[in-house]
Amino acid sequence: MTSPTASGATRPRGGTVRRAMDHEQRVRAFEEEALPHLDRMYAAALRYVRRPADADDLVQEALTTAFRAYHQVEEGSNVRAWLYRVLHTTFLSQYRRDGRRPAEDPTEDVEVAAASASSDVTPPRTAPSAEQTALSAFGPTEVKEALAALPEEQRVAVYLADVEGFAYGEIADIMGSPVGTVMSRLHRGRSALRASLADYATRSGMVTTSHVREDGSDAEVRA
Amino acid sequence: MSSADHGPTVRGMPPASGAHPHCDDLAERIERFLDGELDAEQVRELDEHLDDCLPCTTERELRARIRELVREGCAERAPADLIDRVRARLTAVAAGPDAGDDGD
Repeated sequence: MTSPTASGATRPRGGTVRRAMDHEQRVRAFEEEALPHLDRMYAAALRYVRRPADADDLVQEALTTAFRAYHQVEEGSNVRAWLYRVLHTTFLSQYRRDGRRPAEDPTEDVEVAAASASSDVTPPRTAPSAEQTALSAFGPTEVKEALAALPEEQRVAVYLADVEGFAYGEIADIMGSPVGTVMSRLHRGRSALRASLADYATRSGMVTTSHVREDGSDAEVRA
Repeated sequence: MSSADHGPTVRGMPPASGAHPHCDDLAERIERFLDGELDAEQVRELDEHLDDCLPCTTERELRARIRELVREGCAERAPADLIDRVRARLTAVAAGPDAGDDGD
């Protein structure tokens, strides 16, 4: 796993080679490294702001900010993660000027330490075969809507892991959060996505959800 | 079915989903596996268990499929002209008076 302190994604240091470039060379070098990620950064921006026009603005703003700092980035460092870090901080500064915090999850901090043990946030297990059946109708559009309904920080963490394939340490770097917090957000976000899936299947009458517990009895007896 | 004899390295015929204490612990392990966060030894242990456990194999497939759907659902492409607008802006910034400033 990439350690957040070792990846260098957020701590670009003076790149002597880039400092020596003239303006045109620097634009060209930056374009070569950053613009291949444009579509994905735009998709990422849509997870932050939802409206296409805002996503468009956010990407332009982030790339401009990144370009201004580009000469500080060491050659060979993790430029892709750094670009997402800039996207994240640009979002925070552009859309959070009023200091408003994202929709807080009040239990998050408490759960950081217990992230791996928090089985209580796992949705009731439906029979896997029923969920498999539901998946045939639960397509990308439904998952995207379910993702959009998640708290911002869970949504972004899930996007960075599932779509971008960033390691936990990189996501921690990008979001400026401890690794444990990232793992907690991923766990909770994915559990919620899964609950949406089960819910969708039940609502659309595809399956009858059976809340089977480990001991197989408790819930049924009281009902 | 008694679960008393299901140790952490249980093998053989898996009981119904959820009735197998060890499998619930493995959900998180499966998640980390899919995230590429397990070391080689942990991957080997998990593979060994999955070879024998249909519910956990189904669980892994289900989680992998949800990830795929997230990827497919988030595959938007930037507007075709965004790249040109970005380029124009970078060129303007580079030529501007504050070009090369630290920006932070």
